[in-house]
Amino acid sequence: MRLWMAAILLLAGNPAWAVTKAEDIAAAIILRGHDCGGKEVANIKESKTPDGGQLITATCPNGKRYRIDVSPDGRLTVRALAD
Amino acid sequence: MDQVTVPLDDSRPGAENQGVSDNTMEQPRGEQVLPSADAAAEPLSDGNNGFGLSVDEKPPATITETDKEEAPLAQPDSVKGKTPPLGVDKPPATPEPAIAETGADFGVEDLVERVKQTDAIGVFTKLAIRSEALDLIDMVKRHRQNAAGFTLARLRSGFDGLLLKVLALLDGDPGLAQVIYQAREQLWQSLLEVKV
Repeated sequence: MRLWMAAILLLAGNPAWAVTKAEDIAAAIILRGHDCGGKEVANIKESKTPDGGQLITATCPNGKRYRIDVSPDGRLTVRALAD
Repeated sequence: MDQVTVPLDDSRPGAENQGVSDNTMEQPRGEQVLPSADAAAEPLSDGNNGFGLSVDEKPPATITETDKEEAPLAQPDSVKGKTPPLGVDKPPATPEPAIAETGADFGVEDLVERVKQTDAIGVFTKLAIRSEALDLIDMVKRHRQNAAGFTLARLRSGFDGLLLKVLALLDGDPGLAQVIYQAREQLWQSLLEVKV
């Protein structure tokens, strides 16, 4: 419940204009239930996977690094990377 | 015209209190190779609306006045042939919960399309919302299989959590957030009625 509230507080307050990729990825990480510690990620690295999906790594403001996998059918999973 | 909603299939586990509209989610998704950045914006071709919720265009099965002549509603013997008391013309109809609560009927597919189109959230966020919705549908599947722990209350809790997060994200599109909030019961019903 506490994690939900933190997620909702972090997700709220987006401006009406289009969000940046850093904000977008941070929101996706939070939405999938991970702690990010801020609204923008840094050190975004993107690559394509052989099956047509997408692989992204990014660092949250709290220092945690995440790997975001987007499958070819659009399913997004987030995994924390070891420090 | 009075309309009476008739559940089509109450025998399915987890199908209580539903006018069932069967649809979606059974087909494998592996066939659809979408560019990942476009996946949130492109509707899927399998009848799924891309966010996992039912997109069945068919309204709940209804009985119209003409149908009533062919299939009269069963009445208890104590009621048949008796004149109802003054001021009581007919038994109170049970309205559909979503409409009764919000006063409006929302097209789930239209709502999903509006979420896809809004600039208030980015592509990856939309994909995350879709993935969360698919996770909820997996939970519905397990609930129907009577898996331990997958209670209706837990499903509703997950649904409410996702709803709150989506509403928080849509701070930049308050009109859409309001419509989604008003349609929450309809979205919940769509989730329960989704064919898995």
